[in-house]
Amino acid sequence: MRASILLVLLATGGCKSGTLESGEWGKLRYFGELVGVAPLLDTDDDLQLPLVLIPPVSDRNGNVYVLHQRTTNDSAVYVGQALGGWSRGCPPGEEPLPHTVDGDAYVHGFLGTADNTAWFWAGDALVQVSGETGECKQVLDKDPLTLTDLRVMAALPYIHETPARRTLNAWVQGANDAESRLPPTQVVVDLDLRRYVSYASFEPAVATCIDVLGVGGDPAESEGIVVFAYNLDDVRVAEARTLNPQGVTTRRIPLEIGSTEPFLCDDRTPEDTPEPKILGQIQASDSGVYAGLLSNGQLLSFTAGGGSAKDLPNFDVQGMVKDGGTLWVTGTAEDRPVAGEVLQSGEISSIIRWKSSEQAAANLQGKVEILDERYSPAEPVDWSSPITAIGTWPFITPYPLDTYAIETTGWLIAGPSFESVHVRTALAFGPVGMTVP
Amino acid sequence: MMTGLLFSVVLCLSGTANAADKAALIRTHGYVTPRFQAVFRPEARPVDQSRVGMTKSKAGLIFAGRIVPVWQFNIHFVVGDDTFAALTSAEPIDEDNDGVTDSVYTTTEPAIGNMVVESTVTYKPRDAINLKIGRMRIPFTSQAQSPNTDLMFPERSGPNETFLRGSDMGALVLTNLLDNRIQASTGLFNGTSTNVFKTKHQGVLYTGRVDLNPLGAFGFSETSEWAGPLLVGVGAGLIHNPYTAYDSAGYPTVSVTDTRYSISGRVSFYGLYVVGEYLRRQQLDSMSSRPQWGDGWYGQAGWHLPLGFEPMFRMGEATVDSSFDPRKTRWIDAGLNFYPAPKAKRADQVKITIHYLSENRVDEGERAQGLSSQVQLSW
Repeated sequence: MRASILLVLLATGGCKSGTLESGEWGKLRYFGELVGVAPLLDTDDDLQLPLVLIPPVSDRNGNVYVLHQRTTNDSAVYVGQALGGWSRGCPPGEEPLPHTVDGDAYVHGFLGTADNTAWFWAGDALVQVSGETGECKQVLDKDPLTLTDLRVMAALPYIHETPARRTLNAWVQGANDAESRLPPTQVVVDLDLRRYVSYASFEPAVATCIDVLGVGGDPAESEGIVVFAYNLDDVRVAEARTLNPQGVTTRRIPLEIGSTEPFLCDDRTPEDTPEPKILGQIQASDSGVYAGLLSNGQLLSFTAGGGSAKDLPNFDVQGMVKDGGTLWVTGTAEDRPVAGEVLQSGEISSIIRWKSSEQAAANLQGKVEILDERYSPAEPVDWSSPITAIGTWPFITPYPLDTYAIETTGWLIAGPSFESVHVRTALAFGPVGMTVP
Repeated sequence: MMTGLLFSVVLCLSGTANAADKAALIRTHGYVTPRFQAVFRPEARPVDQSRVGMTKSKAGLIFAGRIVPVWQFNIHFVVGDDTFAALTSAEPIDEDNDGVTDSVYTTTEPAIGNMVVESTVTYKPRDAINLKIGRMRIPFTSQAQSPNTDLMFPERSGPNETFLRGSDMGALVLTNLLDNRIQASTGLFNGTSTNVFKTKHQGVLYTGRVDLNPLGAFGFSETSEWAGPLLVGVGAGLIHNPYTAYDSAGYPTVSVTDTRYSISGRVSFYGLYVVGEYLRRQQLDSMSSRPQWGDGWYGQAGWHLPLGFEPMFRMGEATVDSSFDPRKTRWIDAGLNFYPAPKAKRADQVKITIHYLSENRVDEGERAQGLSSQVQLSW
């Protein structure tokens, strides 16, 4: 009997075998060269454009997805299959949202994944990507009844998945209405049927000059979040709404972001949108605090009762991460990665050095073996001291990080770069152990 | 086609043996099980919210025989059990005539998946040991060793089917010691029933199972066969399936190791039969640094009462993908078996079952409930 137990333990290798230590990298997979330079190498005085990459996500079958905002202001998505090999990159052919200005994100991030599919929102399109083939296509390009060209003004990054169907909430508009910033229609999109299955009109119907500032999702509460601003009775109103999987608005949360002076959007020479946009996505803690970084350098935090934009503490805030139900604001102080907890009040606690991020960066020093999967058969190659391809340190991003495995997420690293008209940088995906201070 | 050919060969062999050896023997068994089932899923799409009808009905035919005393065979066909929608046509549709395919119009027909449950040849040089080769159910769990007709409920438990379902091609050495108090088996299989084996994979599945029955022979029938005094059985099973995946060009990409084990305990006492099993799985590979863990358990009990009634209850749970996004499913089954012909050679030759079943996808928030009734005639 003892021998049997020993045999079982040896065979299964203990309870947590196969996972990575904090800062430890798994197999690094070289999948292509993309136009742009790593953010760390991007300086104000050169003419090269930085790489704009969203943190990769994985599906249930183990396929990984890399989303790239190209220098042509559109997107391409790459799929790394669970058992090896990468797709060549699929551009879904979206267009920028109306009224997008320099500095706004064209690619809004991943919305979620299922068994072998991922969905993302880029420009005016909701896009699905197959983990089996790498094919991408727009989900709600046209109204199925009127064939009106639709703009996805907001796609909420929470996918409600059951054995029977997968749905998410979105705000859509016809192209002309979007141009005029008229009220959108709130729809529940059946991602398998690739059309909306229920819709509701925007309230208040007399609102004008509507601008979506950002979106978020809270899987723990099965809800999507949208933050937006509009004119109503000569007052500029900022608001957050939470939506349940049936497309019902469950909460309307008043926010204080910028001025309450109305925004003149109907003029032939409209002003820029007065409110700052949310960088990345809004994230929610288990205690009911929602937070997102704003493009003006502030932090937007709110609870069900309301909230406001706040000035950030005196460190270089660049990202946000959720761990164990707690939200942390991340960034750098004295050129080292740090994190500060978002408290229930919406304030930031004192910062702590983020050793996991430091360790991940340190583990890329020297000669690093990479598996070149651009062609078959895959071959190992060596890169000399590759660096993070997203942000200034590993894990620092305003987008939610993927739960790739227990205490592990996926990340991208940048290797050698090549000059051919534009600078192209070699990129690799790798799982990496991550803990938050 | 291959099945028919194999069957013909076996019949030819048996005919030759009949002429050559007076000991040759062929027995034909079978069963017919029509089933009415109503399943309700309130949270599903309207088309899936209720399914009512004669579903999962099946009929089986078993040919078993002995050519010479040491060479035996067993062939078990089942039809109607495992159908799938086979694609019979596909047509691209360009709804707005813009040269882009908007959808694909398809038609399907129900088709039978794998109708061979078992097709084995057994070499039995001694009573205590035998070698079995061919397609068979891998004896990984206690329930996997129960014949289809000897199950307490119409189907095996959900956790059992999550960790291993169907049959597979392989070779198995079985031994019975101390008058069946110790039963053990070990073997090699292709690995097609583990739900991970695909055409671009190559590997061998190793399996082992030990059952200890200290109070006497204790087979794996779950029906009313166990009408005598106390019997106890404990067992453990192991599956180890290392394989290599290859890319489309034929080069190796990933090495995978899939390991599963099960532990079971069983008791019978004057018509009461209780079984419980725990199952666990871990899959590791050389690429992902993402282990796949899953575990599950179930317990079931049935009590054969006078007048041929047997109330029964089963509960089970399985959690998969525990290492990154756990997904738990919980099953509860309850029902009543009625054996209207207790004087037959075996009481379970005629069995009428009324069965309530529920499946709760805990993390996905979807529930299904249903009722089924079936009649099983076996001979």
